[in-house]
Amino acid sequence: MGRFIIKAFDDLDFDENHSLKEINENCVTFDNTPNIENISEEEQNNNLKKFIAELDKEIDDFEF
Amino acid sequence: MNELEEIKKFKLIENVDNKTKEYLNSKISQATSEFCKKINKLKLDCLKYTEINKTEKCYILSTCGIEDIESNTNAESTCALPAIIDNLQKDKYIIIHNHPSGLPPSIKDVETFLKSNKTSILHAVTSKYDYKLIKTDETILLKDKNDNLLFNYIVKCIYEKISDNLKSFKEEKIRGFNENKNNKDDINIGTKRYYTIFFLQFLKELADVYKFETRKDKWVDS
Repeated sequence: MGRFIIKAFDDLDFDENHSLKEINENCVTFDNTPNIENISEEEQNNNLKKFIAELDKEIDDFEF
Repeated sequence: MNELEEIKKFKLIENVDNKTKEYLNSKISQATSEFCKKINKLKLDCLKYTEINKTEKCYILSTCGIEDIESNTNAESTCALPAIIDNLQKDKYIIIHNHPSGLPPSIKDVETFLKSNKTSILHAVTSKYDYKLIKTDETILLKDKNDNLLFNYIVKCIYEKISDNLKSFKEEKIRGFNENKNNKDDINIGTKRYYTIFFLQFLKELADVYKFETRKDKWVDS
């Protein structure tokens, strides 16, 4: 199953001044994985929408 | 949201010697109300730029007194703000800017906030939230090159800690989907949301180390 992954810090591209500007959404990658052939494309897309809704709720509920 | 709480932190310029307590109270109340209105107006303006124009906007608002000045900068990002603020004459400022991308305050925002002693509050307005970084009496500032190097090191440590936590925390939430030609937009949205969750935890840790407050107010609540 595909998944979102936070890149390792040392894999981020820093400029010559070791700028921290690369810590943004580019530090998240998405990896496709095999073995989901039993799930239709439509169902996969629905699963993704559900996952985004879960993430939205988590952001909403987050407390500092 | 309690703007009054924020306002109480600022010194009002008034000659208090010959004024009655009632008069002063009414003046403070009036100034507070006007100031809150001004902050809200600028935040709503940033919200407009986020939702309609989808461009960046940044205001610097003085917090020194009733006759506050308002500077609308043309800075493309907060990277330019420390230099702008250092050239201003007032003591304390509120930075109000927007993030059309919907992301929380960035590392650069935090760096700017901690580098400038004059910045008391930094707002990052998105279409859904008003994020705030607020200085406290204990906030540790970045004053020189060594502080900046230490900041970079602390950022790296927190980054590694949070990404490890998030990896194990999210294992149970993995659902069946891959990227295909019809869900590229949703994958991009998911990437931003996933990053937001990561960065909110990151901000929480950073605020703990550098002793500043962070808040997230939903627009429907404010």
